[in-house]
Amino acid sequence: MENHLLTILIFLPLLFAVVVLALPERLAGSYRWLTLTATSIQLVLSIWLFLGFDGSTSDYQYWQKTDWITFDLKALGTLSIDYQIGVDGLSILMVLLSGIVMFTGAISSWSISQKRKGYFTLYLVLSSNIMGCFIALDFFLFYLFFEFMLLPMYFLIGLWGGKRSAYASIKFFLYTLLGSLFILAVMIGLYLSVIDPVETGQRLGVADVNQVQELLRAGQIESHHLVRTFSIPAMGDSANFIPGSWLSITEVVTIDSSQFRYWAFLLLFIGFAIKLPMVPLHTWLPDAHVEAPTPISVVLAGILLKIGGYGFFRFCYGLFPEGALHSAYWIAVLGVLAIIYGGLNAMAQKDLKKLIAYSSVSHMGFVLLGLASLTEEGAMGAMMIMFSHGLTSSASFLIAGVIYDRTNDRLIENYSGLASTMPYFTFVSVVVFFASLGLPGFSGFVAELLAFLGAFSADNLIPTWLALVSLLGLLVTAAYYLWVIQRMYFGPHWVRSAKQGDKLRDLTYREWIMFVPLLLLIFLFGIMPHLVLDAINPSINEFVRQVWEAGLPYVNLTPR
Amino acid sequence: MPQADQISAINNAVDIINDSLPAILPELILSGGFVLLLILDLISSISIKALRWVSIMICAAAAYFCIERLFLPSSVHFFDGIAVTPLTGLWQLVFLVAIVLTSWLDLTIPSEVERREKSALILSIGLGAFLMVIARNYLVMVVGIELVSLSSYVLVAINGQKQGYEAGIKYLLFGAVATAIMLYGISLVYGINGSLVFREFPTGNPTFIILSILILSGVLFKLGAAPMHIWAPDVYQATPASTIALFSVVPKLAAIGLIINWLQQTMLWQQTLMLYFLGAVAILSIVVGVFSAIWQQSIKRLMAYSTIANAGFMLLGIVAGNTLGLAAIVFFGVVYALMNYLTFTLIGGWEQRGFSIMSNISGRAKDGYYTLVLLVIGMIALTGLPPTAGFTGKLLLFSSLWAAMDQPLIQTVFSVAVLSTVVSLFFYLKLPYYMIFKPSVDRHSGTENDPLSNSHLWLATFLALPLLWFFIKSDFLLNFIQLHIFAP
Repeated sequence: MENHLLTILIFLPLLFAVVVLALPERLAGSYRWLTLTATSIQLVLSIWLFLGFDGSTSDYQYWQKTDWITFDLKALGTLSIDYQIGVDGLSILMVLLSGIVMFTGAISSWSISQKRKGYFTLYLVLSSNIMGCFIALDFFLFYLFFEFMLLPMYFLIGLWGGKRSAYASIKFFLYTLLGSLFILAVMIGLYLSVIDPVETGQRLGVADVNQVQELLRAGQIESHHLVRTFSIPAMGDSANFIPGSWLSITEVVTIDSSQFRYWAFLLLFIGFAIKLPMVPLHTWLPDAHVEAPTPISVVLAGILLKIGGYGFFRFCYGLFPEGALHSAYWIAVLGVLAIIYGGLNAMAQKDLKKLIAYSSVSHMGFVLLGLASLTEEGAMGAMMIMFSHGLTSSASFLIAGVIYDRTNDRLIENYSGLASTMPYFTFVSVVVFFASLGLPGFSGFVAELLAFLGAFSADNLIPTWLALVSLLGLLVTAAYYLWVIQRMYFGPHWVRSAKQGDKLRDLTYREWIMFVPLLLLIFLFGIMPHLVLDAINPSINEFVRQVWEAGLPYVNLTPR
Repeated sequence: MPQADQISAINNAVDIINDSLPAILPELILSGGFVLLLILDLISSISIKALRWVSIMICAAAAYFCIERLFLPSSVHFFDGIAVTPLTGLWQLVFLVAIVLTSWLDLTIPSEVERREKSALILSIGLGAFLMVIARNYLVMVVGIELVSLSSYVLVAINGQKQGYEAGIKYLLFGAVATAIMLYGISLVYGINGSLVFREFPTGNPTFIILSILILSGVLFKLGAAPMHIWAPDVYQATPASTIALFSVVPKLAAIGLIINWLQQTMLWQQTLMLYFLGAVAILSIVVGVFSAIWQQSIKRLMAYSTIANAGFMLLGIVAGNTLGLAAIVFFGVVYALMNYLTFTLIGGWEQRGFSIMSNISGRAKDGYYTLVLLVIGMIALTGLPPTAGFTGKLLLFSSLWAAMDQPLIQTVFSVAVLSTVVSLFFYLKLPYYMIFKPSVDRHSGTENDPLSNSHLWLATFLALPLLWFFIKSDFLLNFIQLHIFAP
């Protein structure tokens, strides 16, 4: 039974989506209850999964594999697409985060009153795809979820969003599609280069995987016996690459004197960097955030961006370690650029939501920086930032939503001294903003600390001056958060029109239900970060070790 | 007085013809059906509906023998004139299904001007397409192409609108020139080696590339590939949806089938120069199709450019130069037929209400969300996104290109194809975009505000389901293609 947990996690929301579709419009009131039920079951399951996760190993757990599509490529052998799912330390936190964020989003969707059937169906489909993205261990399966996420998101932003939502949603769709096509291009190259040693062994009648890999290396397997696969674990093992194939790591295949694998790394990197988003590919994000309805902003910032970061871990770095080592310097530069540029942009915003959107860009820069360091601390920090940012940015967008719900106005300059009329709300905002800027005691602090530790200790990849510059980012972050707190919450009470002022009531019960768990978690993981760090530690260590071990022989590292 | 050996030669020839006749039973059925329909046309007491039913019956009969072809080994008949292979069986099945679907659409949505001749003409397009895919000889090929062309010209012109005449004449003029160029090429080939059989192509002759481009120009015209595509938008705009659905599927796939056959027979497939030419045509078609489609306001013109781009995509499989590419084309072809019919079914429904440009459908999502769902399935399939078979088709085409990635040509073609997919999303999404996001225009009254009829929605559902199914379990169709059609 336990083995099917992940499958349930993916398909349960789909099942509920079908129910929502089938229920007549007359029962429209029940849609949100059904959605809430589905997401709470998802939440419970993901917590269950996390608690049952064995934090002492880097292996895939809850692993499940079934044949899905197999077809004959004739001279090229066989193509096997599997339904292969599982979690390890790289994905377990993201699964947990998805559970939390989707649940919060469902509560936040309570006030949706138009076209409810469409909204909740799409929300459930989205939820199922997000889970699928993190759980899939087959590239094809991942890609399916990754792409199929775009369509619900397009409609959710476009139909239930603000005035310019049509523009924002199509921009989001086009940008991400461009990225995912890059990923598709690499995916095809990978499956043509990688074999599944187990299934190939079955065709040859060789039971031992190592022996199959030996035969492969010696070129003794005829082409039509090869079973090509999308399996990510198989792609992660360089012994499974067909010698002489495009993306084989052992021999360098070049095109116009530039290495093929390096191009592949670059394409994958751009693909996921658009999703992350990384400066200068970030311009879709502020638009999408500003126009999206509050719950969708929460999902977008809380979990969708993390798929970009997760993609770096699982695909860019996991499959192309030498590319990662080779371009570590530039990735770090881009990360620092994102931190500073995103932060300065955030400072200049007049719209609260746009400010939070740019702060996300800035935070994702820390992910890049931590990852580029390729140290255990750095990678751990990157993962932790993603997790922590998932909590804080969800809460931040909810804060923006609270104000917007009441007055339909998010301009910072139109508010002042909110603390006097909305004390609880002010408390929540201040806590969340402090957590976002990385104050000790909150989850963000540990995460950023680890990332910086990584950046400073990675002497051979990242020069110290770069790490020092990135520290400036902390200052910028603190500046824009403190400034917005000062402008909006403190000072004499003033709102643009008296009419709006009347509407500014303090938090409702529903809003408390959304905020309290998030705040508790932010505290909890700030004070006891080992709760999550321990679980992912072996996987992260193994990840870093593998990148160095597999990538180092193929790159020329000059100390910077 | 004839010599004895001449007599025996003639006897031999008659024997061969006699032996060959059973092999072309589906073609004979279609020919007979065409004549039958022409005769029935004249009897005014027979209703148009009855005529359409008769043509559906004829197709069903022919389909039976085409299914048989799928499982029989390849055979050559009529002195290398034609070859019947499992692949031709599959193409022909697709053509028959297309004809039946068009007849069915005509049954359920009678267009304003009912033409009795339509059934017969559609059947003759089918017959022409049948001949195109079995041709191994320029005579059969020309007869096939001309049968398709002439019937198409008439079909465009007879819909009774002024626009239709204009488009018909345009189509005829362009078509005549394309045919003339093709015939000129064929005559040169005949002049060089005195044979009309594909197999004996003067590949050794230094002018071979010019000859083959001349010949191909006629076929590319049918395929609607750039730069022979100029007729397409006007013709599409002026013709009822059910007919264009047929135009966008049958002649195109027949042309692709013919090109594949011809390249394999003439061995031009191994000529790099040839692949470069086809690669250029593919890139040009994709770019022209995709970038022109962005600016269109007319739904049918948009679809016209979409089919031009898709013609380019199908050529990619040939340019890749491997068997995976061919299998990918066949798979993509089947899927392409499904998605085009799905889209044109919906367009036909709108057409009935007088909607032809995008702003007509603005805000129509309210009238029926189910229509919207079907439209979205069609559009993302055409773009090539999961979870539709359109994605699997593109995945296979791209895979075949990847397998040949060492050539600069392939790298260019691959990049163009991938990037153009992004652009194509932009215009495919325009239709759902107008339906959902644009404010609806005030309409007067009458049937305009009704949602699409149930028969439309049923047919569209019937077409959308396999699109999803061939994504979830694509191996059924793919393995069938690989095992039966490209069996050694």
